[in-house]
Amino acid sequence: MMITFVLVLALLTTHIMSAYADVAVLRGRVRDSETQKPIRAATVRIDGTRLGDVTNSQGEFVIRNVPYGSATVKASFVGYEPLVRTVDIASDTVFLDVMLTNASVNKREVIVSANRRVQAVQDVPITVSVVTAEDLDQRSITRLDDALRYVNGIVVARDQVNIRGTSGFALGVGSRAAVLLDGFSLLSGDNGDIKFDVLPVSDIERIEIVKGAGSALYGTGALGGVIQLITKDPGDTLSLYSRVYGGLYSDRPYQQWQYRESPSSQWGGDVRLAQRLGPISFSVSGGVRRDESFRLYDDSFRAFAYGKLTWTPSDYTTIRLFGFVSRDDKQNFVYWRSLDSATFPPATVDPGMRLQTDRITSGAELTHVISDATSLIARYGVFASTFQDRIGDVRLDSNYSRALAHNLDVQLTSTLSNNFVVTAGLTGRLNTVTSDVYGTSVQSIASGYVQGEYTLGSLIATIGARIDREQMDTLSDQLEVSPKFGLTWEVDDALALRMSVGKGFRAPAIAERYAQIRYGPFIIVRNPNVLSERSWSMEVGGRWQSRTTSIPFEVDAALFGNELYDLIEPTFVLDDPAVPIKFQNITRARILGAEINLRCMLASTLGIETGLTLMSPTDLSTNSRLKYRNTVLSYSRAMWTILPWLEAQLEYRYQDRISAIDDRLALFVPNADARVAVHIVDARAFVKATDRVRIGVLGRNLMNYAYTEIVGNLGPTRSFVLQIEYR
Amino acid sequence: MRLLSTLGALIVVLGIATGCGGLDPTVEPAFSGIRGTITFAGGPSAWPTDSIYDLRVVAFEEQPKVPADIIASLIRQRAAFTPTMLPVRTDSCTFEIEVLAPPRVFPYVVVAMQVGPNFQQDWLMLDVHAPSGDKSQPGIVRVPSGGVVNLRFAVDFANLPPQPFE
Repeated sequence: MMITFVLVLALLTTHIMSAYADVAVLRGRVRDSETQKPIRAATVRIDGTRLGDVTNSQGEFVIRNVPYGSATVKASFVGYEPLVRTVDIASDTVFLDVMLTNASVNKREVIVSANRRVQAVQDVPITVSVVTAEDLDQRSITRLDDALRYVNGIVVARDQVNIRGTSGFALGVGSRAAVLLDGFSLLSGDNGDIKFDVLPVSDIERIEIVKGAGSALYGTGALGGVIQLITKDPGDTLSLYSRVYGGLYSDRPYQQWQYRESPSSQWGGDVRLAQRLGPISFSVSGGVRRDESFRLYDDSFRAFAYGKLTWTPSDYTTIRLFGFVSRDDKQNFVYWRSLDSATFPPATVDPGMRLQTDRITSGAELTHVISDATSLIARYGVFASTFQDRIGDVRLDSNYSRALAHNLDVQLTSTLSNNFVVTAGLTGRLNTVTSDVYGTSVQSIASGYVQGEYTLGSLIATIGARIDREQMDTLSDQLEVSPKFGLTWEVDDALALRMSVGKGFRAPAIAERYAQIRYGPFIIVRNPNVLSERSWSMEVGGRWQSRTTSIPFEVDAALFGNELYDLIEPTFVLDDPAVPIKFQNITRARILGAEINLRCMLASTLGIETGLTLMSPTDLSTNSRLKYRNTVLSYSRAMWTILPWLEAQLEYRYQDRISAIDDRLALFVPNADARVAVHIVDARAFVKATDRVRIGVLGRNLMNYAYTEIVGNLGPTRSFVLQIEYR
Repeated sequence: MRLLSTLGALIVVLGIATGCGGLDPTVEPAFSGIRGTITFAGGPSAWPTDSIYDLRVVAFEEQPKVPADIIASLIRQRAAFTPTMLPVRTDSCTFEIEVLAPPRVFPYVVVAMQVGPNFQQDWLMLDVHAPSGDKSQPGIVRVPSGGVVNLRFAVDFANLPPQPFE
């Protein structure tokens, strides 16, 4: 494997020797031909090559390395007529103004970078869902996990993201999805978890969710999929965005759940400032969130700041620096007192105790076009996180951890010929933890990967593999090889078929091996011998767009299967008198399923999208239903532009009742068996007061439906929020 | 107008869907457990005159092999038992055990009496659930979720079942 990798690098290096040919930069802007407004997330490609870009929020694109001569440029965006134009590349920089004509289909075609490079979505052999900045705006998203709740096939419980049933109940540690911000890992070094509520929402250009194992490119963590957050690039003009919101939780649906006379509140705000000044661009943003919650002793305060500085010294080189700081200070509501007192924690909870989590991330990225066909990306980032229990200003030693995660990533992408692209790289991750509850631990993972994409007419074949070596002081070295294979076939302009097979794995988080902690009623004991869990994902799917029918629509359907090995589950140790919980490799599971998503315009002002995921999650170790998994997920949304300045939306989310949990939980959590199917209805209305000001009224869980997100935890009750945005 | 009526119908359907079946704390959760009666042959006069410290019905997930296993099972929550001491020196009584985290399986269900001051050691099995009638072959009790299993015990102080201890 390593020999292969070295050979590929040598090949790329040889290819680089060809040095610079006569190349130019093609810049431009894509706009709506009628409104003249910029179109975000449009695709611009040079036909017959792999060169291309996706427009930013100003509709701008930059394609480097374009050979001199005549180039056929294709620009497209779902809902618009594709445009093909021949451009003469005769100088170092060429500007192209593209006007797309609306085809009355309000859809989005996007390019995803989840394969570590820009691609048209129909060229990707695996299901990728995309949440755009427009989606985030329309839903008034303040927490990114709220955005993921409305992606079909995904379940979010607290900060745990479950893609197509791959995750269950894991006490909040060990994410089975790799989460990245512009390529930088956002998983903490100790718990391997993610805090979605302190990420810079206003900076997010789009979120890409790869559904299926992605370890062949992303290594550990990508067992169930990859979530990539891509931030916005500043435009030439100063951009100021600010938002304030405030709202109230309405009455709890039952008298016995009332715990205060007045409604509890939530409020917050964001601000973002960004501009490009010649070769330098900057973006700074920050925000605060205050939530009194719908439950007693569950309030939280969160604050974050984000900054990105980009320097483009030449058309071939870009250097990007970023930093991110956040604080999450909250009471730690672990589970309810009982169903009858579902908004109260157990009577033994100290209301003065708070859990404080601080995170600091900083990183640097170099992007360099080495030759007319080869580009280099090198990234280094460090992610520091601490959490501690406090009562007032006094830190409690019983629950404290400080972790550092260093990430290094070097990637070469080379177009060896018009129809063959190779991507290869080396990565390293070093986690160091100092903790009262996890001890002092060092975990390192070194990796190499290579992937080739071969285009033959309308077929694209992708084959790749990655090797990861994990080292820990208490374990012998662990070696993981993760291959992948994918095939896409663009049958015609409307239909694209795909299939993929890939392996995923996840090295246990340090918390899963070394936790010695009391978490609510649970005593968790260490298990240094827990090993990586692995998966094989398979998928066959297709995407069909119709622009010619009276109701334009787009359908994406897939059949998928996940084979899961040595799943790490928190398990009660019955032989121990204290019945503690230990993370153990215990489960062999299989999840088979089907997913279908439909988007269409019923009328020029009314669009709908709906999705359905059916799954059969089986625990093959016990030949029973895999615990904590749904079998039916569904999501629907209707968007209605009532007047040019008034828009309304209605969303409905359904999850069937989880049929199996660990029955032993009932020994610790009263009414642990109290769980139902989830029916959540949200509604929103937006008024465009001026060109720059938009006012929104949002109703969440409009029907005040009572349900649990995880065992012994009531889901959010009905709330109403007023939001004012300025841009 | 057609659009409005479509949306209106949609909202009504969603309202019906979400108005039914949510969590409801006013609905009493279904009892899961074991209920039954115990008869004592010979009536009150047949009871020992002293050495009665406690009396319970206990459902074990594993048959105890030494007396200390009894308390260990209770601490490890691998046994369910009557929450208070049952009445003594009587000819019969009823009992009720709530079983948490059903469904659960109990291969050994007994009437147990503490006969000395050492609660970890001094236990005597007065009767064992054995549908076959052979007290050396205890019967398995399966408690389903929301289900109740009814048992009858007949204690004969002059003819106690085989004790489980090795």
